Amino acid sequence: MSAQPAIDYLAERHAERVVSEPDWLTATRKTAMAYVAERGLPTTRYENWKYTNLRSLHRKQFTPAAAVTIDVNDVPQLGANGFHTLSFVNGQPQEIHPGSPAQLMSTVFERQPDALAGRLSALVSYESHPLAALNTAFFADGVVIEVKAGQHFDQPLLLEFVSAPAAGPALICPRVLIVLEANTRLQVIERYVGLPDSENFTNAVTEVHLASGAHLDHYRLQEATPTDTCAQLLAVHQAADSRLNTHSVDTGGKLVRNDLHTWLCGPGAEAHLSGFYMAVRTQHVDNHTVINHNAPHTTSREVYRGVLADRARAVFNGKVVVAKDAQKTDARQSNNNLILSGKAEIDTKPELEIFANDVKASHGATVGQLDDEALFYLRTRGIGERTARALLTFAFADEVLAAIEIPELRKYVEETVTRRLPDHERLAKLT
Amino acid sequence: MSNRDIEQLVARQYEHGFVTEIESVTLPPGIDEDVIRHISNMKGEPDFMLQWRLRAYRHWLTMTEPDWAQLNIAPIDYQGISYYSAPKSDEDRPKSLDEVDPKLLETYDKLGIPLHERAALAGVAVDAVFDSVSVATTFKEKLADAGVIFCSFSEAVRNHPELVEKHLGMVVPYTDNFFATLNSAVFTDGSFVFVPKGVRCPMELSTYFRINAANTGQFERTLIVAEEGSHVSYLEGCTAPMRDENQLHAAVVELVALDDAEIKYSTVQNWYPGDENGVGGIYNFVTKRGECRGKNAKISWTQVETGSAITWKYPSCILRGDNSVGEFYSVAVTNNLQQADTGTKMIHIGRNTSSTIVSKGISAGRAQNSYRGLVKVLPGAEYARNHAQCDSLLMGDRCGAHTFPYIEVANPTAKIEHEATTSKIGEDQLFYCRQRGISEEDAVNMIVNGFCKDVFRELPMEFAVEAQNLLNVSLEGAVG
Repeated sequence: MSAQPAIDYLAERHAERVVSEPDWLTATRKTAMAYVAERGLPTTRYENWKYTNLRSLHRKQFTPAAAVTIDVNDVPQLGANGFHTLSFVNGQPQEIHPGSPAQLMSTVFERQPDALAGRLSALVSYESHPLAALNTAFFADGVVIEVKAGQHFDQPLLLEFVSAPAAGPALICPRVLIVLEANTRLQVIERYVGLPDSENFTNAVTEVHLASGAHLDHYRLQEATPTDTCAQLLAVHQAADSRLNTHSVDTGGKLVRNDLHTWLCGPGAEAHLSGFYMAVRTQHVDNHTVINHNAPHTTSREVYRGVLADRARAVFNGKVVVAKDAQKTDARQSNNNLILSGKAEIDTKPELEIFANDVKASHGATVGQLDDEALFYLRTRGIGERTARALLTFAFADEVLAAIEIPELRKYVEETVTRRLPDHERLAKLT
Repeated sequence: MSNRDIEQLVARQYEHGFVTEIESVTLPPGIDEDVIRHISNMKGEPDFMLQWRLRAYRHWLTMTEPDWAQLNIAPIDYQGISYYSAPKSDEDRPKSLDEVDPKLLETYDKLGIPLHERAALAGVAVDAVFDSVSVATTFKEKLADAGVIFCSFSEAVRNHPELVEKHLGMVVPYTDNFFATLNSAVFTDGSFVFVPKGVRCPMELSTYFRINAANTGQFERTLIVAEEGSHVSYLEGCTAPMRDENQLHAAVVELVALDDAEIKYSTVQNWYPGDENGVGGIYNFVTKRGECRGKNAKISWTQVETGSAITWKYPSCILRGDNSVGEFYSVAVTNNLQQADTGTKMIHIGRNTSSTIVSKGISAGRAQNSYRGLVKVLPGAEYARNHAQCDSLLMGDRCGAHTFPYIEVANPTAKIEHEATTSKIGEDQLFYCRQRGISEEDAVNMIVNGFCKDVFRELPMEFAVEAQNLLNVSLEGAVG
């Protein structure tokens, strides 16, 4: 796909479909397209892509996602009726319910062409995340979520991005912009789910602006089919006293790459990142996070945990940058990995870059196995070895999953993880 | 601490800054194949050495300087460096210390390391490298009785070419990296140690390097081979005279430990770091690597890095033999505009291998100090074990401390732990010391030395004392 013909092809198909767009967006897209044409997809020669090879994408001729019709019942339901839901199938929006804080980008462009000028793509750097250029060049429609000061939404907003089998491999570029005004709060769930036999590349970009005192709970639930490729960039700008909680759960996908960048730009801002990844067979899951402490008195906490089996490979790169004047920063980070079997591989790199002196920063990374003594203890209680292993693995994962604050979602995620463990029927009875 | 103290520190002259005027034979600046032939010829090397150098040089021409380190390096003019400088008295080199140029001995006196006294008192054999050619080697007989070969690299090439040919470049191949390749092409001297089977080296071996003769890059090559069941401890210490141009120092150290052998390599590096504005100072771009080739072998690196304008150095262990052990203990201190990007690589290949990393970085003034390390567990390395602890201490609000640990694990039986912290000196600790009547400066020294204790403990006795003093001098007045 780094080749010019492929880019031209994508650009032509794209041009056929986009009817009218504001001029500023056309210009933004042109810049992005030029970047993609010049640089192509990142290769392993980029330090940030050292462990994740996108070569498998080069071989495929992707087309911009076209509309497909699917039976909604084919998508495993999250089992929550209390959510505002907005679904996209291969990038095409489905019906939108009234009362939802979400609007379609196309609607916004139509009504107020310049409303998003200067805001969309403001947090995206193609240099640090080249795939964002691909998304910016080719996204079809997106979601804008704006919570005005004083507005209040009790129910979580569920954004569902469904990847369905199309005529050929499709490039799906979900795009989300979230703006929370001062002292508002919102819970957003982004769910990436696939139907069997899809071979698509979902390349999402979500940008978030949190004004002072705003509070966002962001959940990312990725359960794509084992043939899909998924990438996401979550970029967040945080003003004073804002709070970001992110929960990222990866159980699906063939090749998965998540980037999370947050900038803590005002005193009192806090970011709490948690993540869990489980990879089996030949799955490849890569999480890159960057937390920028740009203002004094900012706090970050990050916990990512992973379980690997078979020939799976996981990558974790957590970077904490403390800027020169960001005194009294308090940053903690940990990454724990459990290798269950065989030829699995983990590459982890917790990084600290610190330019201020009055800070507390620490990180830790571990790679290990289940505790023999804990296993022994369970076996003395009459629990079979397989079940005991599964139980301990679940316990390892649940340290992170327990932080999910929406009860229905937590239940769903815990069940999803449990189902992937050996002996899960018996395990379900125990837990 | 007040500004006055900082000013005092800034005003402090580099203690070891003086140039000894000894006539040198120096090649004109520049590098090409003729220069390499000339070096090889002057040193009377056998043909295999020359060919090896030329292969390295040709490969070097295809390489570009690495730029991935967290370092800001002024461009280096490789054609502006003279690649060979030797004391003129090359023909009639001294047979004993009495014959050594008194000016040279004076130099050592100024450094506080009188060659003979130190050697006698501490039981240390010294193979002093003064610029590029060894001028004094002591205690040879005693070592020879034990069967240990400890000599300059040139002598080794002349007297034991078969050993050199067998081991040279086996751990750090001439294609390894830009600076190691350059070293392979132009290295002038260094140390060679061979400890035969079952021998415990009767004394600690030590080399003092000095960079002299302005504008001369120093390219040492050290090779230590420990045969089955042997044991050797090697000390390397450095100081350099004051000058204004940046001096490139690209050394290569190779260690080979066979079955049950143990090599302990300790370094105290105190080269001229440049003045308070970052003018001058040594570029210390070193490739150090040890291979535990045999079962139960052990290689331990200990380093105290206080000098140099730029340090780029990753003493590493290849744990090939089953049950082999690698260790890395490091204190890196940067002040003023010094930069350090240092750490280690532990490559686990054999079964039941274990490694320990303890790295303490101290950053003051406007300095940047990075730990960069790799722990790699290959698929066949069953039951590999690693523990890494990397702590940084920050003094002053304009310095930086960075940590880049790479952990790559491809075996499910591995147990890997990495921990890192960054903080400033605890105000409660300072307050506690102050209210016990300890001055602020003493309190800071005490706390810093405590911070580094895990590493200093690993140093041989006389080095440990020197290291503590060095640390105090390097950081005096740096806390505000």
